[in-house]
Amino acid sequence: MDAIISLALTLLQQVLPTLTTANASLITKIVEGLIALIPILVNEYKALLPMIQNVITALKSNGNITADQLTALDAMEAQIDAAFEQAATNAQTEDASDATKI
Amino acid sequence: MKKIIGILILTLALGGCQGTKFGTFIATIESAATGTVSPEAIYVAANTFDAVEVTATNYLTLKKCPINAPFCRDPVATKALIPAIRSGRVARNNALQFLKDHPSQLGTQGLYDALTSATDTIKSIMSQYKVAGVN
Repeated sequence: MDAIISLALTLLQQVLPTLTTANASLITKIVEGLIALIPILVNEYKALLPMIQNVITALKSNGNITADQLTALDAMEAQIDAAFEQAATNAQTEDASDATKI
Repeated sequence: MKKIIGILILTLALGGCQGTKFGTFIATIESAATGTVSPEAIYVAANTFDAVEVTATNYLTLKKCPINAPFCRDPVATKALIPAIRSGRVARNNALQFLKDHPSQLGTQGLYDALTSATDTIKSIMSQYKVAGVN
């Protein structure tokens, strides 16, 4: 994700000099692009937080992984796997339906 | 604290394969002496895989390309990602099952390698198709 942010900022930097003519339409498009980026960043941040916390806890534990930690991981992974399977099914359905139209 | 978490997020999952590298680092030191890996290394590797699976899930929920939006989902990448995640999930479950069956014992290098290799394969697919979240 940092690569995308970096790319977006680089592009923005390149476009900025042309904005001296106050191109309202272009500014609107840039703002729309940035707004579209925000939910993706927030979702990614929130979604990955539990894994980060798990790793921090594990690193603090000097190698001892408790049964409770494994149970909690199981529960988290059940949700992650279910979410992935749902997204995969939806994506495959969308792709298959478009392929039929062609 | 937010900065630290942010840096960790970037290094673990979004910034490439640093999380896996760290897990590999732990495992390499131990395997050099014993040919085994610690429960901690397997646990970190499982969480790293989970982070990659979440990123893949987020990608799959994007609108299909081509659309007039900054981000979209490539059907070709979708075809590659889905089996890779499912295959990696098997490796993750096998490694974690070992931890459950052998609490506080060192795991075999093979289980760990299978898991990290699966994660690396998925990251490679993400990199190839420029999936959001991976360099």
